[in-house]
Amino acid sequence: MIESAMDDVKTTERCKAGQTEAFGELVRQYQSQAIGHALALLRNLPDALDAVQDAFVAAYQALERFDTSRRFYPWFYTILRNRCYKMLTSRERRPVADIDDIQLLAPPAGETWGDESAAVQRVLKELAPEDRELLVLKHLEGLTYGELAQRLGVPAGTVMSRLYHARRRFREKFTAKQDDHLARTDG
Amino acid sequence: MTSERCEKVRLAAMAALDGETPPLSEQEIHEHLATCAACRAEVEQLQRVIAPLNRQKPRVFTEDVWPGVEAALRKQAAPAQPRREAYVFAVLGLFVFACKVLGVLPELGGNWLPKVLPLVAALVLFGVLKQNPFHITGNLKLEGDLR
Repeated sequence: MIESAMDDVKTTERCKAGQTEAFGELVRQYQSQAIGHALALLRNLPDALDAVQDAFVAAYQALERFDTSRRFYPWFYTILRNRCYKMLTSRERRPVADIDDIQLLAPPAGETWGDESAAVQRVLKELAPEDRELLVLKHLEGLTYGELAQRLGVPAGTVMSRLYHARRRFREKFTAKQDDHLARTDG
Repeated sequence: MTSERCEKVRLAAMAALDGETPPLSEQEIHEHLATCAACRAEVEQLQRVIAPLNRQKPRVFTEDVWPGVEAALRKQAAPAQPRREAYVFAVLGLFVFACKVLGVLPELGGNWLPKVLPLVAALVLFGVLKQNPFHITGNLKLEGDLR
């Protein structure tokens, strides 16, 4: 983690010195994470790729204002998030992809989708973008409440409350899915 | 219907499950859970939902956006090429200017230089700056909500 933070500092300083290829290193380091986050909000891969590309271009242009002593990705995430929410309210969006076409989770070990992972993935996709974003950042990225508060620009108390309600909504759908599955296998 | 106390205890218990510092002490949480069956059930259900979520890993995407980003950055760095219409207007402008000067010169006799000089100076200024010094543009930008 510390090593990665140091790498960020070196790379962003090289970018500020005008080395475009250094920015390429940053893009390649964080693009997978960024695409996952954009997809969680937009539920459409082509839109997610557009949002990530636009956000990286905007980040490069705003790099002068970036404090290199801080981590790159949390700062970049704010730009990406703004871009995604702007696209969510835009009328020019592509239609949301079929719910089965959006994969947010890595296939479990053994390359086969267990009932649990498949159900988690389906429920995540059915949630509102705000709930899905929060659960992805908490459970897939492992962010703390403090880090979540920083990413989302809200107090830690608000994060706790939103997380509680997002998990409740997740639980309702998840339990229903499991009940359905049990009923099908019993029948 | 849950009381304000129940809500606080549930949030604090969830924070403890997440390994965070809860806003209530461990003793306060346990004391409440010992006497409130609804909160006990809620916390147990919360535990059951946190576990499967924590077992998931994010997908690794193989798509590469760098070529697109690099192309966009190159495009922005390249000096803007004047549009074709700009040349047409420039030629037309020069033609009108030449006609005007040729028409005015005989009337002015030998006293034409002070009148023509400001026009020439303005043209040279436009040429040197290679842009419209008044920053008048046909592109309207609307600032929307960037939420």
